[in-house]
Amino acid sequence: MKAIGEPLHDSQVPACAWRIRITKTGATKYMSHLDFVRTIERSVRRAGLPITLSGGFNPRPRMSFAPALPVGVSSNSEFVDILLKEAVDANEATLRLNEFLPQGMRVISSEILPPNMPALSAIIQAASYRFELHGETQVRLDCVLTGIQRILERDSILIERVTPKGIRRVDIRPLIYEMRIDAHDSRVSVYATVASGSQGNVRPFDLGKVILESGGIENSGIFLDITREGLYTFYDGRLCLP
Amino acid sequence: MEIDPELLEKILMNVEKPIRYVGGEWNATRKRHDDVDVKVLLAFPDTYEIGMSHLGLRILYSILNSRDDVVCERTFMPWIDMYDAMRSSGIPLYSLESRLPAGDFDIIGFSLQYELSYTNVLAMLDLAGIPQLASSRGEDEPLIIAGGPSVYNPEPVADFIDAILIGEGEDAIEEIVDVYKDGKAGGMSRLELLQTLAEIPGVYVPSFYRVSYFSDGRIKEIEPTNPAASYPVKKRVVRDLNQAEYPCQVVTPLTEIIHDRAVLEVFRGCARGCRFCQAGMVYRPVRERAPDKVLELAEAVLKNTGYDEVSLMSLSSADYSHVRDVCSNLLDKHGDMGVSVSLPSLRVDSFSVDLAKEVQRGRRTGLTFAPEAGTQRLRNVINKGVTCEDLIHAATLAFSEGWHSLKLYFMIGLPTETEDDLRGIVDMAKETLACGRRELKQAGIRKAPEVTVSVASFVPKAHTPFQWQPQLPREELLQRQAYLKKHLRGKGLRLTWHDVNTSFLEAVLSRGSRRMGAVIEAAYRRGCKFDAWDSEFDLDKWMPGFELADISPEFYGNTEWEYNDILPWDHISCGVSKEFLIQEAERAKSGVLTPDCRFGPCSRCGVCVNLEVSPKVMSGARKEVSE
Repeated sequence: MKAIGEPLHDSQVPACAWRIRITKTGATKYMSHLDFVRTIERSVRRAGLPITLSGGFNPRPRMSFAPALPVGVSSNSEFVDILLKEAVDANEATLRLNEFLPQGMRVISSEILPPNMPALSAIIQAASYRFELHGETQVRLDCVLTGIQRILERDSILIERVTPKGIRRVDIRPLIYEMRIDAHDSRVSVYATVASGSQGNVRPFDLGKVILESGGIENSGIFLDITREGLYTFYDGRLCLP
Repeated sequence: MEIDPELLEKILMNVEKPIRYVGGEWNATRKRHDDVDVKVLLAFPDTYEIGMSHLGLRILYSILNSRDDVVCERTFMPWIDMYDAMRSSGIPLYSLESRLPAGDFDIIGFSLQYELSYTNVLAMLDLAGIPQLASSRGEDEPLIIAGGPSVYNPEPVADFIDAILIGEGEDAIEEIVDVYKDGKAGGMSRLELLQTLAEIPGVYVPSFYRVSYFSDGRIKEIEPTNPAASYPVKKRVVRDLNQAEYPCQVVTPLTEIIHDRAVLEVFRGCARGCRFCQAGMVYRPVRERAPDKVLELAEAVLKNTGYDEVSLMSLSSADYSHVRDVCSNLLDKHGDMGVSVSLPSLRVDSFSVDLAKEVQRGRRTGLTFAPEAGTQRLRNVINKGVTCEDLIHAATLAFSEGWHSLKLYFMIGLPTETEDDLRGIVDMAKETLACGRRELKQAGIRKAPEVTVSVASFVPKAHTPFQWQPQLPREELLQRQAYLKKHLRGKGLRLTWHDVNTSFLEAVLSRGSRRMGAVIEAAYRRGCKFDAWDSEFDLDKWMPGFELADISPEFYGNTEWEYNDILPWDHISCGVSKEFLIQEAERAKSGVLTPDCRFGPCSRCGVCVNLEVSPKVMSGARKEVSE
């Protein structure tokens, strides 16, 4: 028996990293990144998966996350590395965790990796987003098309960002890799692949605003439903899933 | 009909922390409303983060949803940005689970935890489109009920609530739902329903009593006007916590709440008998939960929530007779998974510091002691059986164990307080700090000690020995605060205090009569909400209401009342007799201590006799209760 009061934690040794690709939709899209971290942690505990704890007096489960998703943006493709004490079968663990996740969160695929992977936040370099346009009035496809064309034709698009040190201007145009439109029935969606991560980052709400402004529809009661569809890393000059 | 999702979506993108308004939490219960007989909405008149931390809400939610014939959902007071957005876009108060308007429910139950949440009750009714006055509500309107510690003086909200449950809700809530179900099936009118509800022990229907007043504001008579109305209404009490329902499928929020951990109530009630403390009177007698039961429940809650912290909750957790066993058991069993244990409300003694040391496993987050008053004389007056030596012992141990920051709770404006007592606060704080310097140095810790003194102002509360006592006028409280600000300066000393206007209103509402209803309504009309929040509270918006209703707030807040006055809450009984309260008030004047009945003789407070219950302490033989 362990005497109570004994600081018992050395960092535990992981046997593997379990990389999950998970959705964050419905009500859970309103969770902050910290909320998301906490909810993953609690769900993994509920599922009874063998988490590895950090050392110290306040042991935390060892996990690594992709760059934070802004509050209000859904995702079909978040990535989390969870360090486990014992090797597990990826499919079984997926089924198990899915039983304990709140509605809106679901593991769609997972794989077992060696435990010493670089942090996800360090390897993610790009993200793709879907902007779905809604409104009380009909969304005019031609306006959106023109808007996207204008964005792609420009050499620079300056965005103002409020930082603790004051307002900073960032040119996001070089960080936009691809944009396209998808329209069917009465729905219009814009897909964009942009830089994401510490080497350059386009915030989806900033880009959304630019889309509406370029299309001249910023005050037409149209609003955007944004979903992160993918997170990527460059490999041989090509975008790949992590 | 469900709230328009697209409209809601638009609003949510523009408010702070929208996650509070969408539900979808783990363990939240969804049921088809068509499949049940009674639809209950639990309404907490403060933010989601505060309401979700509340154990009572979890207990009722779990009991009600365990029934096939009932659906129980939750709603909280939306923060001001959301409240305004909902109003301007016509979204009514809605339930988190089904997103149905509050008005679609059969029963709305408000949890009243503190007086300063009353305007929020009105705000929520208003947002729900339900008339605020009980007398204006029609046959088809939801039944508005309330419970919680504030209802031991229910009079300030008497105009707004149809039926109030006094005391513990575990059993009574089911009886209320049963009556409602039968009444609805039998086609009862609202009045007939209220009459039947009033026959349930503990249920108080304010409209069945008439209160008359003397010209100076004192009460002439409180008179039942309906044969179903009992006098007094005695609080409900759970006899044995081991038999009581305890929620194990706890709704686990998707965001951080105030008490974001698994909570295990280890006992209910406290018999220490601090004379200012309402909780210490109204929750009597002490009833402990068996340690095996605590462990079994803790296991289930941890498993079902995924929390990594268990809080052993009670009014004084170090008093739990098995506190040490339970702590070590929990840590042995779950420590490997990183689960920690926390103990709120510790005593001022070395046993408590030892416990804190053990459970915190070196996490030095700060430690709080509550000596409450600065001199032995005044501590005897309030029956706080703590000495300066106790504090210094506890502090010595804490500092030598590596804590470097301690917090001391005091109250100012207690009955009989003089400058000596204020000086006593200063002396105790300085002595504690000096002790910290000495001990930290000796232990070779190079951190400077810190002592934070937090002073609240005394607020007289119903059903306490100090219920007749006035609060000091605000000017006087300000002067005493100024004294402390002047003398509690220097490196390592910090002072925090409560806003005197807030404490004043709290006193006025705590001892308020039914006439306060008009004042609360007027305050709400002037835009008062979230009065418990310093950022929102504005006493100036309250004052015109007092004038308009021709009520002197000083009469309720700052006047000493006589033992033979009829008090606004005289028709409500928590079991503790008025004779005992008078006796305690007199013993306070002569500084005589009354021991805790767990360790000394029965203090004859009356609760066991009046309510036919007995204290349950797990370790010892059952105490004999004197008639």
